[in-house]
Amino acid sequence: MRQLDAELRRFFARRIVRSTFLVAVLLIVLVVTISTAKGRAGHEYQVDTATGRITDVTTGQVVKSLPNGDQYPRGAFAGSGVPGTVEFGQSDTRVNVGNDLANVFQGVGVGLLFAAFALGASFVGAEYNVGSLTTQLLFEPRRWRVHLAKAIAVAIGIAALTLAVLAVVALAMYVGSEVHGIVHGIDATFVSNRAGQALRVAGAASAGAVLAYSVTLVARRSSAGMLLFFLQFVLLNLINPVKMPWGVISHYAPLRGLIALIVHHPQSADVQERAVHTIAGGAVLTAIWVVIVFVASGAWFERSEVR
Amino acid sequence: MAAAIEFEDVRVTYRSRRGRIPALAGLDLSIPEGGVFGLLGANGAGKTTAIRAAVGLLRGAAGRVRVLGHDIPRNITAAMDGVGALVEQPSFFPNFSGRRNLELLGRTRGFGSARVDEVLDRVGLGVRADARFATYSLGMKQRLGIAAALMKDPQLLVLDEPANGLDPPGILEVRNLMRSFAVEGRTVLVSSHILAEVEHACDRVAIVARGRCIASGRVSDLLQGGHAQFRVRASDARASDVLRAAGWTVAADGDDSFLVEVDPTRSHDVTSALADAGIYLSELSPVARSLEDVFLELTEEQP
Repeated sequence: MRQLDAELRRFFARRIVRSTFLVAVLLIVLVVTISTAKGRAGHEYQVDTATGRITDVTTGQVVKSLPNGDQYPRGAFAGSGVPGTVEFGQSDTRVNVGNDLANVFQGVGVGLLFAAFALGASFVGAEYNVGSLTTQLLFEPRRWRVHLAKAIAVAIGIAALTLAVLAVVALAMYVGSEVHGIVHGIDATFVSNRAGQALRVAGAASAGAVLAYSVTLVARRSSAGMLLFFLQFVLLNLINPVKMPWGVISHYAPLRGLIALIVHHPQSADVQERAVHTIAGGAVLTAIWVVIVFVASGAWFERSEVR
Repeated sequence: MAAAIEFEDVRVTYRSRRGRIPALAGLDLSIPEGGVFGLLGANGAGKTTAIRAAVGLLRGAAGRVRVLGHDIPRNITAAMDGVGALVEQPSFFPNFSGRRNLELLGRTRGFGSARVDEVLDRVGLGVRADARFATYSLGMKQRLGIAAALMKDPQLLVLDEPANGLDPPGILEVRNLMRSFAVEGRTVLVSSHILAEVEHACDRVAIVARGRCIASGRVSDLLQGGHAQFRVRASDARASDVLRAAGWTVAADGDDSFLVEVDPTRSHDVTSALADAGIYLSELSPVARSLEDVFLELTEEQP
């Protein structure tokens, strides 16, 4: 526990961790503020092409003048001789936390996953860089214990960071919705679902960080650990996971399992867009990869010379 | 005398593009408990590799390494409980303060901030303890490394080139620190290329060359060992020729003196030989050898 305590303190004292959180919060506040300010209520209208009369679909009343920003495509329909009515209008762009938070969590989650790769890899990469791992091993020579403590510290640290960022996202969107948006559908089920989703994202980010950390422990360079996972993203888009034989690589790549935990689009027609695995399948695949990479890197670390 | 560290036929080979390079080629060395022991050797002789093998940073060395009675690396945990070490350059997180770095290290062993303050004061770093490590001078970094080595209050202190970057007062402080450890009955192993410093600080030394120990023993024994030089002053110019003819190695020293190599226990033979030739000398004095002379003499003899 003392080793884990020291590793956790080291993790959270790192400038890159604090900077990442600060940048994430600033970006969230900026994006939500802009979205809130620019958000507009949507309108649906119906125009009678024969008479040119415009009716508000929601209220059923005839509209004499359209609100600012709503444009009636007069040139396309007025006097065109096309019988019947044409609907037009604009969609609602106001912040709607109840409706949009799930999708925002998915998008932010993928971004956080890649940040987790960088933070996990650099946690030990920086130690190789300055040589501080040598000093640590002179204090605690049990390398498996050091390896385990570092991996757990990375997992806990990244999970806490991810949950904090997602909490800021949810809070910012809720405030934006209350100030100038829509607050609808926020009930116990919503909170429970989003909490579950946030935990899945945090779990995926933690696992991703542990994988990147373990790879860097062997490669000894942060760039190697990060690159391995960034390259998978390219690989996943180049190789169709359902086309064998090469598809098996894409199908069972670690990133595929991590993405399945964050992005759940089982109905998408695009095989590259949707998660290939179910959430449970993604969790199993991720767990297998974490165990394999953690044990292999630990065995290597136990036998290697540390400088 | 029990051994603090024992190396028995230790072999370490590194692979490089040029092939396999032996760093330790059958190192046999026993470092006794108590006192300050110096490890001398040229760059690449194997000093740091031997130290790395002893503190468990290097794994896979052939042969046997025992530290404080424990086999390395099998019983590394038990051994390192009593070992404080500074290996190569002091390595800490550059953006953390000296104090923060020591606190994080200390936490792994359950040391509190009082112990951290204690060792910082002992190495004279208390005033700058809260500055970032990256802003430290080379000497201050070295002091922090020594402070980290002292944290465990070790029975065996291993210092690899501790005088690096230190100013003369700093070197003196490190020497006093090592001596104070020795006085307490603990063991200090120090590797250094500053031979004069080793000569002043160490009770015993070992000279390592090409991965093997070529000499080991008390400093005083090494300085007195082998053939010593004596300065001979005589009024008769034939004196050097007489001694050379008798088989001694003679070298010029000054206008009216010369140096002769002779076993210290047989220096009276010089007097006798000259007297037999009717020459009476006015001076026969031993020329003090330094550790540097011994080191160069021994290492130059190596193939």
